Amino acid sequence: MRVYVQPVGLLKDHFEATVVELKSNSTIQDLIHAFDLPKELRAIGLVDRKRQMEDYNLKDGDVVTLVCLTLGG
Amino acid sequence: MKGYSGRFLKVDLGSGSTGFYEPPDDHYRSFIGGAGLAARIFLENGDFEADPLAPESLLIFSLGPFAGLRLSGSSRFSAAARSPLTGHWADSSCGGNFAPELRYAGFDGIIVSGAADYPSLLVIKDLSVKIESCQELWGQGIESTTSILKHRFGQSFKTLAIGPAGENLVKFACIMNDGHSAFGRTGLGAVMGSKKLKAIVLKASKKTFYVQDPENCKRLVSDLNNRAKESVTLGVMRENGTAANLEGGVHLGDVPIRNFTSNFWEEMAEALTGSTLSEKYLIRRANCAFCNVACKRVVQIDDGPFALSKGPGPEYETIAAFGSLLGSMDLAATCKAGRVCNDLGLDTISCGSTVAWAIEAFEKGDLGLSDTEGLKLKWGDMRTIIENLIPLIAFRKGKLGLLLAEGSVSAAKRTGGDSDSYTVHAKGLEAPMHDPRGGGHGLALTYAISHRGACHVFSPMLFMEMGACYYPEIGFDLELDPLSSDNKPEAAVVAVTLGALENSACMCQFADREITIPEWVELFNYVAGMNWDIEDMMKTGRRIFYLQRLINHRFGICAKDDVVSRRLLAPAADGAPEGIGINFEEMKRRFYELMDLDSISGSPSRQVILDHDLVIEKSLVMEDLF
Repeated sequence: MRVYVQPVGLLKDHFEATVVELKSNSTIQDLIHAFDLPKELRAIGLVDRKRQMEDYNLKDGDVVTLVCLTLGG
Repeated sequence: MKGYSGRFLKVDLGSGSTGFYEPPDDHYRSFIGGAGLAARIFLENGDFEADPLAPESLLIFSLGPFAGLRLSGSSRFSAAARSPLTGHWADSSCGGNFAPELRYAGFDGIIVSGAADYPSLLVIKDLSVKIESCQELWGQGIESTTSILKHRFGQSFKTLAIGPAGENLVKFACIMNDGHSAFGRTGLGAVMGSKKLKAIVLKASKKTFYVQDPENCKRLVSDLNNRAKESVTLGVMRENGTAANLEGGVHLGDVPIRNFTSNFWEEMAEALTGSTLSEKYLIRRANCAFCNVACKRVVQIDDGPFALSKGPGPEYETIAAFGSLLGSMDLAATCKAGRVCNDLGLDTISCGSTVAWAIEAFEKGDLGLSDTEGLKLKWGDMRTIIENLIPLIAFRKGKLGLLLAEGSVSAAKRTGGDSDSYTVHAKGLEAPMHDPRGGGHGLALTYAISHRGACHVFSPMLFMEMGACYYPEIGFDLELDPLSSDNKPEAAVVAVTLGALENSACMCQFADREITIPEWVELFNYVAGMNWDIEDMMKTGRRIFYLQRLINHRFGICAKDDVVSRRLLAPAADGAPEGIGINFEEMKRRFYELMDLDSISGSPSRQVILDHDLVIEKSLVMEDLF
């Protein structure tokens, strides 16, 4: 299946918006691992802008926004 | 004890006398310094009946043991007093360059009491101290005050000053160090103003600092400084400032929009984020003394309505408080608003929040044109806010200036109607620019249980929920989901303990993310000879947390006051956290259970007081608990 992935914020420095091919039943965690991000940058996934957990099963055609959790004060 | 000077400077502005106060060694060991030791000093010397702005009130500046060490993140210090904004015990933290200089001069802090009859300047050169009249500075902005003082005494003198807001006793006035670093929160600038203390100038002739174990200390400091240089997350702060991931925060629902009524605004995210600030207005990066992170910004705006000369730029809180919170995506306006607030001496968080409340009140009809004396308040109208509203507040001018200078909670009480329902605070302190519904449910809990009110640096909960720190050495290795209340009370127990340690050691919450728990213990032992193990250190953190609660209990604070505004708990209307509520009462109940706090008084149990050696002779806080 194919999902459209959009990085925002800090993650824009690590990859550009792209389409990713994944096995069926892949999760958000699988998708995040595909980008090999620095371990310090903990990322989470939003599907159609709504927060989903790491074990959320992606569907073909999903639009996933990846966001790094690092925040300033 | 090594790591400390062993003396506080005592200044009574009423009598014009100065002297030294030497806390016993066990106060240093039991309360460390900074916020913790300030609370202990207040317990012994403070007047619990005094109004925060009365001459009898104390204003305490207090260093941690690491001030003066050439360690990234160690150059912060605390100011503490009963807050004129909240009426409760409060402390605030400031970076910059004053703290190490004060240690080198031979002091662990300054205790100011009384009130002068005329505007005064405190001049400290090593252990020599003078109080001088400074009528010519009264009414001057902080930029001008700092410039005049540096011209008069020399560029190497460090300064602390208040602006017109502090002089006019605005309840959220701040104190600025060299015009770029602030004791922002809880209105301590008004306490300084009530004492007619315009500024403090300071110079140490030697840069001497003695530690317990120089060899191990040098090695550890070198390791930690190198780690700060190489850290990915701190590198991000260096590159694009504390607003580096504001754009990501908007997508998470962390960044408040139009007085916390929305959690998503895509166009604003890129317009206000740190990389945009770097591209458009950044001239150079700046740092607190000895810090390798350099998260401070120096900006310049060449043209447009918010043109600005080269000078201090905004950090995340100011960008959000004068951007998204007010319905604006004009980055230049946030720079200008921050600069104006700094110069007038206003806390940008409480000021932005109070303005946001006023705009909503005007929109809803709770404030009318007769209340604003013809001023129309609108979301995103930054010219009116910067040119009219902020100066009205700082100078307490007109009906609106007088109303808003008291802070949003007091303004709502005076305004009446339904206007209290859209104040956003805990214990009267306006919430910082992290919405717990998107930024992490645990934040709602720590805002509520904080002695000083809604504050994101009271504890590292924000960073813990973001996965920026794990502490396996103390059993905390949970991966927290920000958008859930699960495990947050357990995390809050760790957070309030570490927060008390951070704010008493006066370490920066960015830089100290790179320090492990065993390294914290080593730092205390190598610098101050504490001879602690991990449990000794954690117990000290808990002791400080409990002491701050006991002081607040004496000020009348009970469990019912450990709450946050309803707006922060209601399910979000949009964005990533849309529809997700916060299970606040259950988090609070469980936290109280874990910390053994009484469900009515909010105070620690008798057993906790005994276990943490808090039965203090002549204690003013114990008598009604036994």
